Order: sequence, then structure tokens, then C-alpha cells
Amino acid sequence: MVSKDQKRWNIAANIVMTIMTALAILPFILLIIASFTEENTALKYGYSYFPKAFSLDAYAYILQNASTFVRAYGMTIVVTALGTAASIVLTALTAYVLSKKGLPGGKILTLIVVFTMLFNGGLVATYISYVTIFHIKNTLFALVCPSLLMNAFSIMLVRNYFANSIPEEIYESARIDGASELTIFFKLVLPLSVPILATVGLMAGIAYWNDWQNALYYVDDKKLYTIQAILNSINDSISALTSLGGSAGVTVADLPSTTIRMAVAVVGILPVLVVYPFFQKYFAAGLMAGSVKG
Amino acid sequence: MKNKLLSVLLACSLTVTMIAGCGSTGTESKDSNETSTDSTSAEGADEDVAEVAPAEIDMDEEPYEVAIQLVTLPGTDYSAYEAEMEEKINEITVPAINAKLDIQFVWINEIANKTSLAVAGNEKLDLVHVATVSPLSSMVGADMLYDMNEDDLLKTHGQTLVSLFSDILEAGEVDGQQLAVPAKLYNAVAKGLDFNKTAAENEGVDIPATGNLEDLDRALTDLKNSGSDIIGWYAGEGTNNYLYWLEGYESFGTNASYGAVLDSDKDTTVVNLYDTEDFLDYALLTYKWRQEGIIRKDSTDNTSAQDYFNAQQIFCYPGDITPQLNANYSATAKNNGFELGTMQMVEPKITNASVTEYMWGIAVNSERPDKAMDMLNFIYENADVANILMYGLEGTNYEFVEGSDKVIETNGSYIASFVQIGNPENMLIQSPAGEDYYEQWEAFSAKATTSPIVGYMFSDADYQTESAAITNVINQYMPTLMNGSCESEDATKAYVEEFVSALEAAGMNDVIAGNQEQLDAYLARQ
Amino acid sequence: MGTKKQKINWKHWMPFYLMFLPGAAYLLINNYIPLYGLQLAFKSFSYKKGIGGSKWIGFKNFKFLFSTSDAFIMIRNTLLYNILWIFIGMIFGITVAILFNEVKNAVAKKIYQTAILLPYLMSMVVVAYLVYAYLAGDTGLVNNAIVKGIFGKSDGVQWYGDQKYWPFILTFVQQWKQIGFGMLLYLASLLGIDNSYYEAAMLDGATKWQQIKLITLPLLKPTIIMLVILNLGQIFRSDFGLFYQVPMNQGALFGTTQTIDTYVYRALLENNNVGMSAAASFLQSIVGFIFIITANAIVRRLDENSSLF
Repeated sequence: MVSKDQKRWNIAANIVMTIMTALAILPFILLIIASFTEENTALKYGYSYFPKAFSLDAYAYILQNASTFVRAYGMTIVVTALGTAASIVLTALTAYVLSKKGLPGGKILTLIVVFTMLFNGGLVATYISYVTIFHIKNTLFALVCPSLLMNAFSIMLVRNYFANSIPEEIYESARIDGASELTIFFKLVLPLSVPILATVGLMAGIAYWNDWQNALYYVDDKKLYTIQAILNSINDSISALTSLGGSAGVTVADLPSTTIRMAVAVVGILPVLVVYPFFQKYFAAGLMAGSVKG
Repeated sequence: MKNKLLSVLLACSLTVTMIAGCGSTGTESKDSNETSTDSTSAEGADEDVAEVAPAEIDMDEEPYEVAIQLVTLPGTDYSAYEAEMEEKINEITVPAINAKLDIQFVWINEIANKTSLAVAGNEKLDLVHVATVSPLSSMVGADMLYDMNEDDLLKTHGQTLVSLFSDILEAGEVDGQQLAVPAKLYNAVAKGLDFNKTAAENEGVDIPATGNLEDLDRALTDLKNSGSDIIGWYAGEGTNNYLYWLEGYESFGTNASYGAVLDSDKDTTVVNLYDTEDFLDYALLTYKWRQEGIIRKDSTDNTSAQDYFNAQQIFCYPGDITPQLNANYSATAKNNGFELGTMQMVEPKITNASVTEYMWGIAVNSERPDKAMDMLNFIYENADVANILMYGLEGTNYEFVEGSDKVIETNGSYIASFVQIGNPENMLIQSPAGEDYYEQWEAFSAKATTSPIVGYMFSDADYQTESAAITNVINQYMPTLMNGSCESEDATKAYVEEFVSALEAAGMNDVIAGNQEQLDAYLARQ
Repeated sequence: MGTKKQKINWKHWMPFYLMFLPGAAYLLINNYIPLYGLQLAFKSFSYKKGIGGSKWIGFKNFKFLFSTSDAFIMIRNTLLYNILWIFIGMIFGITVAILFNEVKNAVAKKIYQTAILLPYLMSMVVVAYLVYAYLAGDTGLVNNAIVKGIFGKSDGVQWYGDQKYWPFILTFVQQWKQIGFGMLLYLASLLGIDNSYYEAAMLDGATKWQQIKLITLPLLKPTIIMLVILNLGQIFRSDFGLFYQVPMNQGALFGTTQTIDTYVYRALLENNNVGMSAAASFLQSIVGFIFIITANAIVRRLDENSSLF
């Protein structure tokens, strides 16, 4: 039985969500159209939903370097998959410990974690320690480890969920059954926490997908470059060169133009959009978990 | 007479050990039992280059691999050619100077970061790109570059460089330290306007080959009156001070943040450029242009002027004028269906800015600065090595133009966009430039004067705080003034005044006083 | 804490400490070892001498932050935008998460969720271009379609010429970009709420609004408090891309767009000083630390269980 009240809420929700969807999609459509706009038209009239002339030049430019892009995509997929999986496990494990009420020293451990959100040693020190102590330069670790693997924000988010959304009785009954803490964690806690793990997993996934800094700092071998490292470099070079003004030794004409930047952005986002819906079901899984509890 | 070489080598190994001390890698200093040659004393050598004998090269040791940064456009990947290029080069360099070359391709957007991190992490790096986005001025402060005056390294291992660059070598010297050597042999640069000649002819706008701001103003007004819809003047984001290309002053720091010398031939007083009549006049001129519609009302834009220019959206933009740039820009213009014209507004001159635009330095953590210097020196001696670095491999990356053994046509598979290396007199010439390219350069250089302060660079080490504050103020006020977007003429004047007082509050006067002091000391030494 | 004599059951807790180890190892490597770089804030960095060997110069590196009249403006802007956005973000995030949860159609849900996350995926450089496409004076879509088209004004608004528009524009862009993410944060907590609460409430005849007020919000409280405390730690920092790229680096807009991060970037363009940027970052950390500790202490006094540490 659906009450009137519920119906009203449903309609209101749909209206608001439709407006927000429009606000999100309209600029994105503009982005796609801009990437197909003919360069001179874009320069003359600005970007428009109805450009006077279309062109595939921007994509032709990207296709020119197709082999590089394909390899970089492969790199990104590997790094994103590895990094996200490792990140979820590590984050959940750490958060689980912090979520334990009554853990001696628990508050100090929490402070140790939160402290890392505030203070950082800066690029130079981080780089020196990673490269000279741990020798990660030009390895896959260079793309996975620095700064992205685990962050205090996600840990706190998951800790909160563990502490507030998983009833204490579940642990008790499991312990009575003689399960070890690790078994409880993997067999009980993780399945019950799918929504929050999906959330931090998504955060980590997007962070890995969009990351370009690790490649730029810790990798010299261009074969290990991720797609965003290349896309970002192409974008970046334009500002680097315009800052040189008229004194640049090369013509800026050699550089990708503004419509190419749009195409580049589309190329970077599109795969995420294609994959994302397949993972969405995990965001609804919480409802199921709820019924387990009941 | 002391045993010059011995002392050089000893000190060399000392420095190497010292540098290695802050990192972790071991060193190979096997040069202590070297035979020595006669030479002048260290004190006497400072005065006269010719008296220092070149260092002898130890041909018995394991050839040292010199790492060199070649800066390219982002997205390029030349690793396919790298091995063969290195092999071809090593075939020449190992017998000649007992050293190998290790090419490191770096994209221009990463170069500043990559260099500083490599030095900080004590990684393999010898010859450093000191140009484009990581110019000498940005690298002076933090000991990133090896001092080539140390043990007369430059004079003993860089004889070719010394004779090639002789009088402009000093441009790489800051605070008595030779931190870099010039990379370009031809450093004369004229300044002025690149304009769309086709459009000018169609609209009946007359622009002389050499002119001044009045000619520019007249041309832009004519263009506007002709009813053409092409935009007369475009300053983009407005963070670059366009006056730099329109008037003949020499500035210190980006956008004259450390002051400027207005006419170095007559007077070497350092002044605050933004407190001069010239700048105020220019600010008022841009205001007028904006009112007349010569500057588009919609001036906020980070599209580059060249982009708009090539799309024939804007009529002209200011910049450097050299035979090299002319050849490049003309070809680009032709591809876009119009003809390029230039109006020279500042006579060709060799200035500190033009020399320091492209330089080579040695990383402070280089294991063997002596071998790095040998290598750099050799590249300027041997055109074959330089050609490989500049143009890649014959047959793979370029072919000779029919009937020429000098002019080549590249197929675009290898473009060393931001590399300047080698002595161009013996090197290949890349079309569209023709066989007469170097005669053009010679003729152009012959017209040029050398600034009396060409070898002077301000050391901002003691003015870091002021520098930061000043840079920020300039970034704040410049866009409005470059685009003439004040409300009225009086508002423009008031804004310039405000700008100047903000600069003074940021410590501009102290910096200029310090700059003047250093400059006077430099001139006294000459 | 209170009863000291209580015996700690180490055997019970040991496995948890072991489980904490991998994370601790990572934090040590990624965060704590590099902390020795903090000393750069008080040093004149020399690549030759390394971090340890560089010369101590006291607080000189901090001077540039306060040496111009901009100091007040950039600190004010940074603080005000952050405080405003913490609250707006919270209200929007919760509202949208609750509304999203009310949508029953599975297909619609998928579309909404994918779309709303789109802006979060775009880089600020691209966002800046899109904002420009809408707001440019001559060619902008807003001027042409709305200002001129609907209101019939002959002249468009010069959005990039007047700083008074920018608090709204920046807030809009920030929320637009972050809302999909904000929604997700609260959505996960919403999904964690046991359905039986709602079922019981419905049996009692509670309206949706009552359910939200009496069940949803109280159960979201720990998440809300945590997010506010953590966000306060970032109160002296700002999204560089948003404040630098989106306003197109326009000097005339500095009054409302300059933040500590953009100031530091602009100021160090020329001399690229490692020590000075370390100093700025150190200051931001200290202020954030003070805010977080204070906020946590206040929360602990009000509600012991909700405090973070």
C-alpha cells in the first residue's frame, strides 16, 4: 500500500532529481558538442549547442597517437583496478580497528590517522623518501602507492559506518560460534558494509582514474604513463607555453587547440561513464544487508 | 706555475664526494694518479681565457655516460629512436672524448618538476635544460646548478664553448658563479609586431616595416574604420606585459618585477617600469583601444594569441622577431591561408633576456661535471652529434631536400621542439628555411648591437619575500591594464597609481636599489 | 579515562592491533617519514645541501604571506568560502540523498546517479572552459540566451569584470561539481539504516517528514559531525583549480577570488621557492589542526560518543 504522503514525496524527489540531472548533463553535452566544433568557429563565436560548423579534427589528432593512447588506457585500467582493490581492503581493515569501542589507545590511533589529513611533508620530502628509500621510481608501485592508496577521510567514513550501522550483537554471536576476528571481518563485516565500501571504492577508483601526478613525478618511462598523465600534459602545455608569451621558440600552432582539450576531456571521462552503471548495484545493496539484519 | 690539471681533478673528485655525501650513491674518483700538464695558476686564469690549457681526456677509464635532457611536446614518444640515436652518437663520442650520451626525453610541462625532483633525489642527470619554463632566473636561488667556474671547469673542458660564446658567456654568471652557458649562437632579437598582411592589404591598412607605437595605433584605428570584423588587439589573460615587445627597454625578472633599464646604451639606471611615462601612456592607449572597440570588450580569455591569429580572428600580436621565428610563423600562416607581415618596433639587440632564453647547465648532483662539460663542448664542435639531437635519424626522421646536402625535410616523426644545441654554422638546415638561412642570420646579427649589460643577471637571493609579493601585485593589476578595462581615462591613471603604490608597499624600491647596486658592481668590473 | 584498575584483556585486543599494522605501515611510509620535510618551512632550501643540510632561517619564509595588504583578503576569502560551503554542502548533500532514496524506479535511479556524478569527473580546467562558454561577455550562452534573449537587455553582463558576482558563481560551481559526491557520502549512511525502524514508524502512522526528522537525521548525526570536524581541518585550504582556473585568473576579481592557495601560487611564479611554499602549507596545517582539535573538544563535551578522538 502506497500512501498519499509517499506518492507526494516520490513526485517531489523525481522533480528535484530531474532538475539536477539536467544541470549536470547540459554542460556535459556542451562539452561533447564543443569537441566536435570546428576550431575557427569555436574561436569566433564561442562554444554553442548549435555550432555553425562541425569537425572531427580534434579526434583525428588524438587518433594520430592512437597506439600511445591505447597503451595508456591499459595502464590506467590496471592501476585503477589494482589500486582500488588494495585501497578498499586496507581502508576497511584500518577503519574496522578504529571502530572498535573500548579498544585501548583507540583514540590515539584515530588521532594518528586524522593527523595525516592535516600535515604533509611536501613534494620534495615525499619524493626523496619514496625514491631513495623505497626505490619505487619507474615501477607499477609508483603509480599505485604515493598518496592514493589510503586516506584518512575514507577511513573515518568507513569507521563511522562500522560503528553505527553494524549492530554489536552480530559480533557477539559470531564470537560465540568461535570465529576469529579476521574471519568475522571478512565473512561478516565486509558483506554488511557494501554500500560504504562501494562509496570509498568509487572515490578511490575515480582518484586513480584521474591521477596524473604520480606518473609525472615518479615515472620517467613513457610506456608506464597513464591516460590522464598524457591528457593532462597536453592540456598543461598550452598554459606553459602561453606563459612564455611571444618569445617562445616554437609556434604555439604546433600545439593542440582548445577543441582538442574538449575532446581530450571526453576521452578521459567516457570510459568511466560506460563502466559506472555496472557498479551501481552495490549502492543499493545496503537494503539487502538491512534485511539480513532483520 | 702549478699543476693545474691535478688541482682541477682533485677538486673535482672532492666535489663529487661532497655532493654524494648528501645523497647515497657511491662515486668513482679514479683520477688522482693523473699525469699533469703545465698550466697557469688559478688566479691568473680568471683574467685571460687563452692561458688555460684544455684538460686532457683520460681515454682509459670506462666511458662515462652523460645524461642530457631533451625537451619535447607533450604526447610525443621518441623512445623508438632513442637507442639508435644514442648508438650513432656514441660511435662518435666514445673515440673522441671517451664519453657516452644518455638521452632523457622530457615533456615541456614536466621539465621544471622533473629537474628539481631528479636533483633532490640525487638521480642521474648531467646536462640540464635551462630554458623555456625553467629558465636560469628560476633556478638560481636553490643551488640546483653546478658552478662551472669551480676549478675553471668551463675554461679547461669547454674551450669550444668559450671561444664560440666569448662575450656573452657572462650572461650565465650570477653572483660570480657560472651556472649555465648559452645554447644559441645567434642571440640577436628584434621585437615588434606579427600581423596578418593579407588582411592589411584587403582592408587598405598601411603598416611600415619598421615603426613605433604611433604607427601601431594608426594601423589599428584604420583597421577599425575599414569596418573589418577582425579584432585589432588582443591581450589574452593579460598576464604578459605587452609593452616589452613594443618598447626597447630591458627588464629584470618576469614582467620587469625587479625593475628595468630603459635605454642601456645611454643610462644604466634601474627604474620601476610601471612608474614611467611610457607605461602610463601605454595603459591609456589600451584604454582608448578598448573604447574604440579595437580591443574586444570580452577580453577575458586564455586562448593564446597565436591560436586566434592563425584562425584569422585577430589582426596582430607582439613578439620577438628573428629569421628563425619568421620562417616558422610564415609557414604556419601560409598553412592557414594568409601571409605574415612584421613591423619591427625595437632594433635587433643582444640582451641578457635573449641570451638566457636557451641555456645549458650542469646538475649540481652530476657525478662527473667534467665529462658533462666535455660532452657539451664536443656537441658544439661536432655537427653530426648535434644534428642527431636536433633532427633525429636520416632516412627515418628526415630526408635531404633534392639537390642539397644541407637542407632537410623532416617527416614530423621527430621534433625536438625545445632543443637548442650545436653550432648551426655547420649543421643541417630544416626547410622551409633555405640554404641562405645562415646568411640571413649573419646579416641580421650584423645589424644588432650588444647591450652593455648583456652579462648581468640580478640575483634575487636576498629578496625572496619581496619577489613573491611583487609578483603577486603584478599579476593582480596587469590584466586590467593590458586590456584597458578601466572605467575612464582618469580611472586608468588612478589605477596605475594604485598599482605603483602597491608595488612599493610590496618592496619594489628595495629590490630596485639592490638591483642597482649589483648592476653598478657588475659595470665596475667590466 | 576513569576506572584505571580495570584489567585490559590484551588477548582479546591483540588481533585488532595486528589488523591495524598494514594501514599503519602505509601511513608511516606515505605520511610520517616525509614529515621531516616540514623543516623546510624554516629553512632556505638548497638542492646541493639537501633538506637536512640547508640553512635555518627562522620565520623568514612566512613573511611573504603577510607582506601585502592581500593577507587580510585572502584569509577572509578562504575562511568564509569554507565555512559557507561546509554548511551548504551538508544541507544539499543530505537533502539530495534523502530525495534520491525516495525514487523508486530503478532505471530512473541509475540515470540520476550517473548524471549527478558527471561534474565530479571533470577536471577544473575543463570546468573553467565550460563556465566561460556560459558566462563570456560577447559569446556567452547566458548573456545571449537569458540576459539579452529573455530580459531583452541590449548589453550583456560582464561576468568576468565585476567581483560581486563571484561569490555566487564560485558557490554554484563548487556545489554543482561536488553534490554528486556529497550525496554519495550520506547515501551510504542512509542505506546502512535498518529498514525495521521505518517499518515500525509507518505502522505507527508517521509521515515521511516525521520519519526523516525522527529517524533519518538522528541516525545521520555521527556522519554529519564527523564530516564537519574533518572539513574544519581543511579550513585554511582551498580548491586551487576552482579559484584560479574558473575566474580565468582575472586581477579585477581578486577581491572575491583570491585565496591562500592562489596567492601562494601567484607569488611563487617567479622564484619558485620551496621553503616559502612549505611555510604556507605549514601554516595551513597548523590552523587546520587547531580547528579540528577545538571542534573535537567541543563535540566531546556535548556528546562524548560522537567525538573522533
